[in-house]
Amino acid sequence: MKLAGVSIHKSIIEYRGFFYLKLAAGLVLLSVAAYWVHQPLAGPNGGTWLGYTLGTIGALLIVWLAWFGIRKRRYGVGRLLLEDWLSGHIYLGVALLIIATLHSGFQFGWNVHTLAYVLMVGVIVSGAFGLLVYLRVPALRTENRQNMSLDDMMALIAGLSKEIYQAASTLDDEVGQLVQEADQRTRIGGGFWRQLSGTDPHCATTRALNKVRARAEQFSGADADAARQLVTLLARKVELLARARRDVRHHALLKVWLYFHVPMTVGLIAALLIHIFVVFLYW
Amino acid sequence: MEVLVSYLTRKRDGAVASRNEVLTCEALSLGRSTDSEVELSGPGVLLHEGVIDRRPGGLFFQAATRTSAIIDGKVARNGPIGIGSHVKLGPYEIVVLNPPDGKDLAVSVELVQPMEDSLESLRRLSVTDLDRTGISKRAFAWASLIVILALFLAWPIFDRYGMREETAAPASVSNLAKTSQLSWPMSGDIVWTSGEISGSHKFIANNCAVCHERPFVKVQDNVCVTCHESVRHHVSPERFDLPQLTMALCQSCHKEHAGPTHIVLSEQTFCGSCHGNIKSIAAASEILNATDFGKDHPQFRPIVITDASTFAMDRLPLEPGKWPVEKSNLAFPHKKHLVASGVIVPGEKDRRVLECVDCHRLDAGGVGFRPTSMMTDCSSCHWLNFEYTAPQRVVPHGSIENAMLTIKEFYSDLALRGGAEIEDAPALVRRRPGTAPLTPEQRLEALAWAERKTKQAGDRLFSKQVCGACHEIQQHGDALTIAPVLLSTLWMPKAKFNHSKHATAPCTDCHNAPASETSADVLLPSVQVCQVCHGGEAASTRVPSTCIMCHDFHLEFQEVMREKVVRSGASARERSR
Repeated sequence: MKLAGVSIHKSIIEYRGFFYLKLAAGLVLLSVAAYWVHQPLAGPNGGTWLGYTLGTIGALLIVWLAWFGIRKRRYGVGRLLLEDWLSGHIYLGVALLIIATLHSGFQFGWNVHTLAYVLMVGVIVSGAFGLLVYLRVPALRTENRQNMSLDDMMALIAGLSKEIYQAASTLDDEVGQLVQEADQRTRIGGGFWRQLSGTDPHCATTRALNKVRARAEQFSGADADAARQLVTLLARKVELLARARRDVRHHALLKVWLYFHVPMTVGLIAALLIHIFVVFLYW
Repeated sequence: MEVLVSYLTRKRDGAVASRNEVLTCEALSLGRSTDSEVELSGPGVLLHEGVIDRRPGGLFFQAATRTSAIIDGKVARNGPIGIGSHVKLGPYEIVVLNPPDGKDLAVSVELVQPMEDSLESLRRLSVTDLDRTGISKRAFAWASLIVILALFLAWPIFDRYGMREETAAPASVSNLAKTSQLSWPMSGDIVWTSGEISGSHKFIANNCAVCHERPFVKVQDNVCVTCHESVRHHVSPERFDLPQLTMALCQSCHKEHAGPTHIVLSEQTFCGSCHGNIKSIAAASEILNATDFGKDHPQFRPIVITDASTFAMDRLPLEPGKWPVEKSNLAFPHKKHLVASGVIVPGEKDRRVLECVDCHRLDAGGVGFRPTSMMTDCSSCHWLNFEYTAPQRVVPHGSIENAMLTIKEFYSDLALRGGAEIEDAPALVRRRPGTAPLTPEQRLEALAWAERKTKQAGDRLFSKQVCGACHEIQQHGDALTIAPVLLSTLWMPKAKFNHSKHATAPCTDCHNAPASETSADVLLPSVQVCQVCHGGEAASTRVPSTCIMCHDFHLEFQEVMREKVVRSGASARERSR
């Protein structure tokens, strides 16, 4: 999503004086009232006139909500602004959860109809997670970055290496080995979970710091001074690494929900089409 | 020894710059340490890598403790070297050169594997974007699309329309059950089910094709009546023009796939939608409005026999003060039979206390009662005997002619055979049996006696003393008739009442028989008596009772609905032509 900055995220919620919140709330209230009043024989279900009505509204909402994925890639198309689409996407997405539940009449089972419902719930829940992330994480990320980009942090980390080698040059081979590994094997991020965790339990620099700190007591004289300096430098590098990894975590959090939101939307559309097809095939 | 050391630096354009240094030492030591003759700076170099010294056999490389070098491509701790030898120490390569005059040894030192730049290394190892982890949204999306389409669309369609042989419509339920056992444990289209099938239809749950015959066509009634062929209409299609009842699809009321509950509607609102104001739906209807058993139900109107002689019956309400009176032509005072001290039973010493069940026995189904009859319920006390010297001899019940014939035969037999011990009998009749045969005159005399006795006994039998105690006997000249008896076996044929389910209550809670002095009393409870325990569908302090607890929708006396299906099928065929 190409929206950045805290102010935009807030404005999506309050957009146009909560116009889309009011629209969604109106739709939900109307549906709940109709469900309350309508007392079909054999209990509420998707096959009554209200069931078909709510189902049609739900299906149209799904199509419109999914269309956002295409609309957001096209700039300046249509009458509505992208902000309209996003604000509506959020509120009408939540409304869909209630409308589709009423459509089901709370009848669930091991079938393609409930599959469509479960996928829809998955899409909405992942979207809600995405919204929470977009409301919370950018501020944390800004605070963590301290006006640095990830590239800046990496340059700072790499820049420490020369000083570290310098400090370690007079120390023994074991320290030399640790320092070299810390320089050549340290990494930021990694796999899916590593990026999301924001930590690295196998970090070569952390390992070097811990070992050098433990060995520092054995040194004396000039070596002890060098070791002390080395520990300071390594600690500084570890701190910078933690900051960089937090940044990667923030970045991953801002994107990870889409790995569920998008594929489940595609699955939902498939299940929805089958649901509609089958309802009339086996009328 | 004198050593010439050339430090080589390779420039970007490939040109090599060298800086020479001449050393004098015992042996040439190499390493990161500042006390090494050749100081190899930078990461990846040990403090002490090794020494090159001159031995009697020639030059020799000796690595420092616990380390090894690559000498001419081979990993070794030590070994002889000569001119042209390459010794690899960490990122450095030492080449032994041909020493110039006056020098004992010449080596070149070059950093051949400079360490990767720290930033480059960090960037190369770091993966900081989820998109670069090999997990792809697009792949997930395609996978979910393909799996869902395959499992929930392609396979069910293939299984339903591609693989199964079309079977002829099953002729019977057992046939249907057999054809529904498919070779697969679960049919492919079972994932299309819109909900759990009702309990009584579960035996065909795995075979959607039984009901869903044609694609995109609602389930038709011909499917239902294949098995439910005797289901009847709610109203007569001829009397009432109510197509919403007589032409409605079965499934408009019987909703399938709504869970394990019964498929029969039980909501009283369903009934009340018409029966709340029945005249507005069917002006010709004579039934009364009802919407809720507890709050809005008319008084019971049993079919009462108003005159058994003319077979006249009427539906009369059980209104207090205007309680209907039945004229069954049978006198039967319940009160006399239910006296607490008991009744006299012929042949028994003690009086017997009667209970309701002595005469009213539940039928096999437990719903109603077997009809009472003289033979099974009355005759053990009420003996139809006519001759006190032979109290066991009784006349058959039910026909005056047969009764009189029985009496006549009894006395005629006595008269002709002799040996009668009846006081007023002539000597001829009292003679010892087996004596000389009677003359024709004697026979006439004996039979004349028998005639007289028959008349006497008949008069007594058909008096108030015996038959007249219960029956109305009418004299037409010489002929006697007994008024025809008609007893109700079912007061309210449109309402089901299961007596066995009410067995915990004494009979007298509803039927006040011990106080009834005449059979004209209609001993039914009023609706108010039922309402003491039963309320409407939504009752919370009474037994919640819906309409169909007592009333059927499909009425036994109406036309079978199958006819409607046959008719509509025929008219559809007509239309299609």
